[in-house]
Amino acid sequence: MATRVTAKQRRPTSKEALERLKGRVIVAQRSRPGPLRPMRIPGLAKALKEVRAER
Amino acid sequence: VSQAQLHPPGDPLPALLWADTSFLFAVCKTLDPGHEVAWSLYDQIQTEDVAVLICRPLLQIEFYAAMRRTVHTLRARDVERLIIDTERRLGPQQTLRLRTMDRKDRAAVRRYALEFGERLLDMALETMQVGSVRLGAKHVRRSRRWVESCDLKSLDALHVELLRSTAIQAEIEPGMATLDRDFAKVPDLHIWGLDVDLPQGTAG
Repeated sequence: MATRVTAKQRRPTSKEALERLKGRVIVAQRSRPGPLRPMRIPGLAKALKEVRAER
Repeated sequence: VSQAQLHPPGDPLPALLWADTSFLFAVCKTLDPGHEVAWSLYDQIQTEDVAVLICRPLLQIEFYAAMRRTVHTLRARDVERLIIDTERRLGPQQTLRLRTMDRKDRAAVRRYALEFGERLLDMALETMQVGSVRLGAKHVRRSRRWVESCDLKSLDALHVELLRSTAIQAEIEPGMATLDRDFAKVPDLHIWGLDVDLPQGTAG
């Protein structure tokens, strides 16, 4: 049987939680579609390892 | 001895998660030993509607230190190759295009690496919803208690103080993404990114 989740128990959304910090934080919305692209580029890790290996 | 609550990978994240420098640096740096752990946490942040909390000035100063260390461990030529290679692979995105560098000039190499680090950090933050917490003199004063009670380094103590005070205001449990074991010494902190089987006495 499902347990009723009260407003207090429910995890707030990030928007709700940030709203409580109004005036305290500067909010920046996501401006670039994630995830971060460069780190997903195949071969980059290998290239970095080669750089290290040459030392 | 771990005083904090360490969450295993995949444990649901809170709505707001404090991002420590070690976490963001490991996301950006593929050769970092913690890159895989940090990347999977970064992925989870993307999919679970989590806003990341940071303190921009604090993050920036710690990133400078980390990039400076990188320059010390890589030779100038290696740094240049690393950057050129990344730029080439980015293709049309070209966000990391930087000016040319005289690699014999150590100050130029450092400037190059710092700029590279800043751009990477910006790019990482732009892919997330971010709340940047304002740093005040009272946070610096209050951070003293974490140096005292948990023997934290001063900048780590500032992270904890900012997180604790923000969590109280937002009425959430203090949650942090970090790869730094020192934070496991802080009571009641909820940590993602550290090994849950952290043996006794290794925290710090």
